Amino acid sequence: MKKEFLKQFLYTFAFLLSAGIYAQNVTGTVTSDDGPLPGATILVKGTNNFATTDFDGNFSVEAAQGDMLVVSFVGYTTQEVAVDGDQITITLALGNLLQEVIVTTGYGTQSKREITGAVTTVDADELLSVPATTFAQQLQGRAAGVTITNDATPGGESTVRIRGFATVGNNNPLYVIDGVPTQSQGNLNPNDIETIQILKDASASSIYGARASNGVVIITTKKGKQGSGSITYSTYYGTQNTGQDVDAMNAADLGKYLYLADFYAGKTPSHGQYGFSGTPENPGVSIPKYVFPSGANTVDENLYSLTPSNIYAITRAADTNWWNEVTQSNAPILNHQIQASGANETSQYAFTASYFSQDSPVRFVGYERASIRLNSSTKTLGGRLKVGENFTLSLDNRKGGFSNNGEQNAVSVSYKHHPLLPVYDISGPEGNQYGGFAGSRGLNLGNNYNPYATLSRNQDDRSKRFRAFGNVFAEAKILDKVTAKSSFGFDVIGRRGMYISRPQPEYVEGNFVNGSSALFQQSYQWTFTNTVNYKETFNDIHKVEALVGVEALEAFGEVFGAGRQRFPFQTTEIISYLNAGNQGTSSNYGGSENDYALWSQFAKLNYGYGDKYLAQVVVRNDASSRFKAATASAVFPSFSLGWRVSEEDFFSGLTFIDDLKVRYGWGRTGNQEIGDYNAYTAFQSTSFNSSYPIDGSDGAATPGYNASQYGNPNAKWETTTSNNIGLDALLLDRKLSIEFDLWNRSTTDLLLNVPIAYSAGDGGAPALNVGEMLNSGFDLGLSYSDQKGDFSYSIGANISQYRNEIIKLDEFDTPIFGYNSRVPAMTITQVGQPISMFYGFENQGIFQSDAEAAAWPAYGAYNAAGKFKVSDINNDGQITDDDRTIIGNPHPDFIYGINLNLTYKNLNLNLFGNGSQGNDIYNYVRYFADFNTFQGNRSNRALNDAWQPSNPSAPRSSWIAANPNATSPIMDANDQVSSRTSSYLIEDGSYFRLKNIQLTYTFGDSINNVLGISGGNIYLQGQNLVTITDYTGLNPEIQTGADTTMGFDGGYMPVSKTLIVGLNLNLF
Amino acid sequence: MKKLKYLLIATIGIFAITVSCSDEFLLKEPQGSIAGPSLANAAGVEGKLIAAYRTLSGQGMNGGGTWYYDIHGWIFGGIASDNALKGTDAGDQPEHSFIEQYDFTNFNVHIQDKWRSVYWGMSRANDVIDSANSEDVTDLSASRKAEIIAEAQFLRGFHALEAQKHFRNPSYVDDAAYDLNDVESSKVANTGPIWDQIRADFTAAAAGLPAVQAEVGRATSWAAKVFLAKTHMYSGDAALISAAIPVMEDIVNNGPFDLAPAFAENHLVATNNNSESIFEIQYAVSSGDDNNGNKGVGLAHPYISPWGCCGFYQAPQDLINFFQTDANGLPLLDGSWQSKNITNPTGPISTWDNVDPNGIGMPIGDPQVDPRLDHTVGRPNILYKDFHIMQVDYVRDITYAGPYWSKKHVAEKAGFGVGGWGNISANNYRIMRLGFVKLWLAEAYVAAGRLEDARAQINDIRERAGRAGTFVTGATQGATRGDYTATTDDAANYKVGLYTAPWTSAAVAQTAVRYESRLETAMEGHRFFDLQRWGVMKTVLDAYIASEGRYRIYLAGKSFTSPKNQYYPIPQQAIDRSFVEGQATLTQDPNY
Repeated sequence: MKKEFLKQFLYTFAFLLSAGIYAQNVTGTVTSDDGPLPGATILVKGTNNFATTDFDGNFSVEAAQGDMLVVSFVGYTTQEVAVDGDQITITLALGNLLQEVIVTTGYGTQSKREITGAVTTVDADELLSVPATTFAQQLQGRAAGVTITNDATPGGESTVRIRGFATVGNNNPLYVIDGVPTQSQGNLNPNDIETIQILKDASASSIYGARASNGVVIITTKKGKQGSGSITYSTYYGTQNTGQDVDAMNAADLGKYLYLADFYAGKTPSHGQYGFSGTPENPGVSIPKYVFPSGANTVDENLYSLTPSNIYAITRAADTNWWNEVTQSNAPILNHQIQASGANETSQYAFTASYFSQDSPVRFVGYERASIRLNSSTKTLGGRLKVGENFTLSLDNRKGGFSNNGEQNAVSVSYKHHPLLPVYDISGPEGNQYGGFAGSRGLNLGNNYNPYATLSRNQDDRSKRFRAFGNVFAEAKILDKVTAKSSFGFDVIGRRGMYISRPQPEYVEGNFVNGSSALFQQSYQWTFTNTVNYKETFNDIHKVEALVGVEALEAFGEVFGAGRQRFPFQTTEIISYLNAGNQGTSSNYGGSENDYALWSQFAKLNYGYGDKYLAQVVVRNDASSRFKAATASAVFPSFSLGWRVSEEDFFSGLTFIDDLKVRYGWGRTGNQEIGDYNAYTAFQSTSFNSSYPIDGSDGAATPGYNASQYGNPNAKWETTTSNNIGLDALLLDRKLSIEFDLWNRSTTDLLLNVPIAYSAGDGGAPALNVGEMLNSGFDLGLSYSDQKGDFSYSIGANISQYRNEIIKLDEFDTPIFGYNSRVPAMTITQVGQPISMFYGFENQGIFQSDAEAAAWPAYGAYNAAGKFKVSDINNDGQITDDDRTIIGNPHPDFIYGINLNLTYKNLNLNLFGNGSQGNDIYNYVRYFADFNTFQGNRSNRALNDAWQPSNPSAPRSSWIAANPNATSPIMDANDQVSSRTSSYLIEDGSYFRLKNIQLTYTFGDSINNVLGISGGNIYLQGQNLVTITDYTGLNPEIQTGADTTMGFDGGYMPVSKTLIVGLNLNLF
Repeated sequence: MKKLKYLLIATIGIFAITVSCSDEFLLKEPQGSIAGPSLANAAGVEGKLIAAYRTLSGQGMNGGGTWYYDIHGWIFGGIASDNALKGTDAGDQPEHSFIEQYDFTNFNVHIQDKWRSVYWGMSRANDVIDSANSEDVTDLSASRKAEIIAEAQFLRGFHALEAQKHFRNPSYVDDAAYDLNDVESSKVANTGPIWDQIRADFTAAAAGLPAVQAEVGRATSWAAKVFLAKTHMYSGDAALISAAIPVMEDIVNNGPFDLAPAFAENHLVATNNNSESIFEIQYAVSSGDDNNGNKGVGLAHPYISPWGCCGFYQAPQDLINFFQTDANGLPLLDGSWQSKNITNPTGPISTWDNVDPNGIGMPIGDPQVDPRLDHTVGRPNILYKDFHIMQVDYVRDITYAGPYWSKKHVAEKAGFGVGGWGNISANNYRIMRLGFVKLWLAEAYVAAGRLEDARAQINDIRERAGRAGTFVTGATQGATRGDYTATTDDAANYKVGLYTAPWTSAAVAQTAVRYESRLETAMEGHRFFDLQRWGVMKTVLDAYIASEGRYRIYLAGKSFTSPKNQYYPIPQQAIDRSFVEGQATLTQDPNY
């Protein structure tokens, strides 16, 4: 027993002793020319041991004498130093910034230094400073040449346009995530992203051939990094508030407006609710006690009833500010994420799990997402074979009912719902089984829905998606210089939509019917890519890299939907599923949504003469199922050249320029977004299109067949040819970096669904290759960074511009009109102009007298004192629809982003803003709010900015303007003309938004030790706190989705002002 | 050995790649739709014919507005005339207002859809004829093939007539020109009126169709004959109107049609396809599907529960006044009705008054009217079908469009509320009934100087209008809005009498016949076109505007421009889409 104990003791002693000898704590300092370097990484080569320098550049790492320490820091040249003694001082030299950056391009990587195409890189630090639901939101303002328009609805996706517009159809770029292509931003967790590269010109993107015309966004997700395993936890919590209020009248002002509108129309003012006892100078508006029954002052409230046979929903008059009712303060936003990662020389892994949730400041609308990601790879067969996978699975859920641009969404209705109406009728919130809401029943109250009731009734609507995305890959070094790679990528998406409609019996056009509809969508896409890569340097100076590959892709998606009505119960649990609904009310539909295949071969050759002369040639051949055999395949070539001028001897004198590269690229790319079956004429049998009750049945129609689509077997790809001249420079001791690109893009064989003759029938028009479009512009990115002692700062800015022009449409250049709403299409896409210009009448102010109006070209019977002075564009002496002209331009003169980063010791302050300058917005909400359109509320402008006579009781012919500078037309209850699309509704949409202001405190050793963590920080952040704009709507950021109707504001969710506190902890 | 293994793996890899990319991989044919060849048989042609019938209703056209081109004609035949107002409130559907106020433009999307819809209908009829004649169709009997072609000719003629009514110079596309697989084929120039082509279609259809069809919705030879007669009548050509007399006599005397026992039966779901019907637009609606209901009049329902939407298509004061009768129950042929207003509609009916704005009043109390008035319009305090005693809560903005409501197209309670949107019903649109034929026959007789023959036809109509027990009855209000008890009394002071004195003046006879047309067919979508073929638009409509403008301020100061507003302009988009080799094949009506 004793002997055993002694033995154990000796062993332990020996172990401790040896540990003392062989694995000691080595301490040291890492510095640079400017002083200590905090945050540098020290890795003990061949182990998982590593350390990070503290604020004073000091570190301590477990290492044995003779071990090699690999010391690295972003922007500095990595050094390897052998451990010699206990205390080591390492001085890192400033590295070549361009050299350090490895850029993921099509089917491979490249050093930024050698890039010859137009590629912009955005890294994770920048992206993550803006909490967001999609990576596209984070990209806004970060990359020159990329226009991003956000949808502020929780879970909404952004519109991404790279360098203008290649087509009048689908301008969405191609996303390639870890080598797997997709068209969907989807529900991916943006925190998983390591870097984003944007391939802007054809010489960079043409390796994606037929899908690259709109640019390519390459996304690389986080991988495990060399070092011992780490576990980090990040979280933030914030509150969101809406900024601006809508500019709607109160009940008394509206009464005055209605009196004057009747009076100026020549009617005796009267209203179903208001009483009028005065004169135009002082209308004497009285408000009744009840609006239902209309205009009553005494009612027997016991008679209240809301049943199908007796609707008597007694409602007291109110003075409601609807915007206040539909919004809430301090809506929460929340994120949790945990990440475990690590790597050694043979394998790496990164695993993340995250949860994000956001409620909207508009009530009853929200979003949540949970996702996991696993990226790992390992080398085997003596390092010759690497296998791995990138895999993410996410679930998300959009909650509630708010659709941008909706005439009855909470934003639009807050402008126009009657202020005399309260939220609830006299029964109160729990007063009846329909929610007790007050509706617009009652005279002259308009036909808007109670917006609070709408939001409340839609709060159980759901759109739930799952998405599995990723790939498995194998990479084999088959010869010394030759690597073969095979990747099988997949993208599987499922969506379940659940939309509940509840009775709205209080609504003036309402009913007692409930219903539920269910939507199921599923889609998959697989991509099988095989490449072989060869890399060699001859004579130390001729660098050659070649790649050949083949790729097959197949995508398929389908949809099924069904609905029922008249459920006996409408508790959410019951009405969420169709079973309990009345079987006789069943409806359903289904079809394919996405169905195509691509088969491609491609090759790429890079040559570099030293670092000085660079060249790249790319060619891709694509065959697509979307075109018939004769036109199915096409070749997309490109080349680019680079010259690092700064390597030339004659340059050595220019010491302020550290690095200068000029680039030129040319290439062709394609676009195949014309739907899947363009080549085929197809028939359908639907009750709407082709059925008729031929036998006289009252209840059922006999189905027939009609042509739903006319085919064009001769369509081929749109081709976009682009030129790009670029310059990359590092100046002033590498403190200033410049990236500048000048480009143009010409699209020919533009695929256009040329409008067919009405006499051909009502089938869908096939896409024909007819149009032509030109884009040109520049992108400029600048950044300057410097350090003075403990203080370091960097400032970055980018600015970009595109100009778009339609060169040709169909054979006869038939203009393409945009979206029709209550007014005829207000955008026009026509030859010689940019896509989607605003189109309507041009106003030159307001007539100050009838005499002035009579002298003006006649506009039917419209012209009169106080009305718009509409330009006679064609000078034919009368105002007709032919006088409509271009009245605004939704395209910005330029867009820009500015980033400022200040660091002092442990504190970091980041400011980031972006903006758009010179674009116009069509403020369609004002069609309802400013004019005599529907009954309901009006904006304050309609009363306070309206032209009025100072002598209203005098005969019209002797009216004298009371306010000659009025901007809105005279109130007139018979006026149906002023609201027609005119320059009045076009506003300057320029804005600058301070998107992010963030103060971060990085923990020092003392805090880390107390918390037992290896690092971390805490930050305070404000988002969208300031928006500078003259635009009168709620949000100058207008995302319409359709590029032939841009800048049309039909009521958009405003951007929230958000305050966030966040915490990042490196647990191990 | 090891090398062999790698070779094997490489071979498998290459095999996998190439196999996956055969031609078959790139063949993606339409899913969930029907390919053309599957329809090259009898069943396919019959199905295409059903889809051609579908076009009759003026709904179901992709991209068309639900009510823009509705066959009921409530916009182009109704609110553009003196029989109807747009109704609802000022801001809703301003395009309707432009039509109501004769401010048509070639950009008006409602006019555009009307144009589209007639050519849409013709295109389907043409494809049916092409398909029936196709050599690929081998299982179609010769007799059925001939009938199918005749049905398609009827449908093509139907749409061509609609085109001719609305547009001065429409184009006409026939099956020889039309090719479904060539979207350019239908670009046919418009060179003038197309009466000859319309007549040819109805003549051929009359010859090829059976007198009776097993399925009541199909065109019969009788229907084709009546449409041929209508074409004659609408052409305004004296010789053709005269030629139409034997055709109409054949229909009236030999056709299997009788005036329905009660006037109201022409406007109820329960009496769809009744004895008076010659051709109806068929509607069907089920709780799960309202696509085949009368969606086009969905907006034209009262602004109160159970419809709730949308208050369009109101009746003007002028129309109410028109139904006044003299002591003999005859209309006021001297035109004095226009200045004698039935007023005070918000008080009880017994206090309603005829007031001449010039001060010459008729006795106070319940002015005497033709009983068809209350089958045609909703008046306050009178039972509206079997829903409620109508009140001004039916209208959306009484100060804008007054207190009166349209009625004929609205289904009775039993036929209401079947589909998702309750407004839509299976109330067929009787686009052709015997009553119309008798009116036209009377017109043709007057033109031919056969005044007494004309009087007999008109008296048949008036006799039916005055049949006991067919009037709207009185009702007393119950405790709730929808609660009432019908009485056996008449709802108002009705009187309709026959023309007992022989007609001796052609002018008076013509006036009587035209008055009868308005009384019998008001708010059925024909009035604008009746005025058009009679050549009296400017006179009648300017007088109407002057009269109605006293109440409807927005009409004050408007006027009808003749000949411009007699027809609607050809939509600019139709012209823009008609280019062949750089030239538009369609040319605008020179009056626009």
